[in-house]
Amino acid sequence: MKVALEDLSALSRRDELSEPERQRLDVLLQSSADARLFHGLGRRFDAEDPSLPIADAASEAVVDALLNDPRLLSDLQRRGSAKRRTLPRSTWLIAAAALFVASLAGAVIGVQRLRSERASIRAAAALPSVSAPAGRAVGQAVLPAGPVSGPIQEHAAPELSAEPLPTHPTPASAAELLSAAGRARRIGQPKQALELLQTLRSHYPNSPEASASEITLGKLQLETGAVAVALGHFDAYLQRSPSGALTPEALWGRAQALTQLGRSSEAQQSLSQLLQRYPASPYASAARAKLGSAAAGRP
Amino acid sequence: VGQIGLGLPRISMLPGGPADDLASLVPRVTAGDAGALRSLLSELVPHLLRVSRRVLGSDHPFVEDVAHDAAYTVVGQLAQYRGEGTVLNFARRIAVNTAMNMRRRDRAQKRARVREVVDTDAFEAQGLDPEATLAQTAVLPAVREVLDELPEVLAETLVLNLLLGHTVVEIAEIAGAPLETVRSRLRLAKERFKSRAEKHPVLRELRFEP
Repeated sequence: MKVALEDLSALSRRDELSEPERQRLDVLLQSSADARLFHGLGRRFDAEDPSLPIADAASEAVVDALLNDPRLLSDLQRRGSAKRRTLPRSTWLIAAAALFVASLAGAVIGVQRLRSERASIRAAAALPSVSAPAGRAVGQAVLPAGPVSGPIQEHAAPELSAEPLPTHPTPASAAELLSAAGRARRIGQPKQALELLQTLRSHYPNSPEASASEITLGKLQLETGAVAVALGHFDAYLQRSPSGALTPEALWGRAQALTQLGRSSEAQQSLSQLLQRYPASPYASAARAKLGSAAAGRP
Repeated sequence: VGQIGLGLPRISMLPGGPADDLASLVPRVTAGDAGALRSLLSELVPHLLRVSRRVLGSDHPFVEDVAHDAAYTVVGQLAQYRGEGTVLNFARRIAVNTAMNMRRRDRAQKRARVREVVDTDAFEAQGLDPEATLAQTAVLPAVREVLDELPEVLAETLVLNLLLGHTVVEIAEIAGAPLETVRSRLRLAKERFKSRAEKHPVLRELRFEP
């Protein structure tokens, strides 16, 4: 489907234009001062706040505050119970019958739910234009299950299932891939997360999300004990985006990795740099505490 | 209601857009399931924070508070969610409105904003042109000021397009409006923005070379 002129700028900002579409945008920008004005302003907003919708310390703090707010859940539970009270008796009888039937099919539903959870992560990675091993689409790759220990093989080809799974109907954007990778990491599926990040990095190599993926990769490798590999990712982010939105995360991750490698003086340098450059970052108080305890431990 | 993948029900989606994984959490959250609430918030809050940063400016002191309030409102309104769009877009619209309301309150109360202090000596020390850098830092706050002067529905459309980079189809789903209506709102919003920008001391100097 041909992209509308007014959408070329938005898609270009996400690094989602094909070459012919990019040429159309260039022509538009050459010929229209208005197009240049709004495209230029949009780019400035992207440059001012390149932060991505990923779970960082700030979002985790907001989530924690919400979950620790007793009103939120009690309001929900009150609404839920009020809704249940208003149901007529016949509805309860039907529901009881349905529950009985559902219990008989419980095992089947359990299996389907497991498959659906995996499919939802896999769906975000399915890019129809990708050629996968054995002629299958990436969306057909089996999602490896269970936690892994030790470093993740970042260049391993995905396993393939005996049973073909349907592919996602449309390409996933860089943001969706990064978001799905973050989700996979949080639910303990590091291999999936890695596959999604590899897809992101190969399809959108110049996107801000590809740069941010260094942080997610660093965290993934730290969690699996591949500390030196993790350090490489944090360093790569700092080299690629020395003043990027995730620089505090990179400096913090770098300090964690260096500490685990026993390179404590370099870790302290990283923490000092974090404090000096980002004194109001969510990591600042933890960095101060770590530097304080390191100073106290010195002879 | 469409079907994807393993024949799983799909609540709603943009044409050609991604499946809405979050929709399956809604009934569990509204029934008071704390685990589902945590999962939903973990997914939504990063997006709400991004909206808040773009609309208010990342140096605004209430960026996190706005994301918090928007998330609270989203959860409170989930019972009214009818699956006409994705949960994420339902939440995005609430976040845009919450952040725009904060800006309007700011203006009305003329509340002092905490802005980054621009140290021109530091720019000179780094070999940068202080005036050019100062103009750069003033542009985006000026754009936000002009947006504040637009009618709400036009401001919402332009925020979604210009600040957040959404396409017309995406805006139509987020705003719950027909495509042609969104196109017309976007055209009008850009015209109004431009005519105000031409009178604005910072924006009228803007030149984007072809």
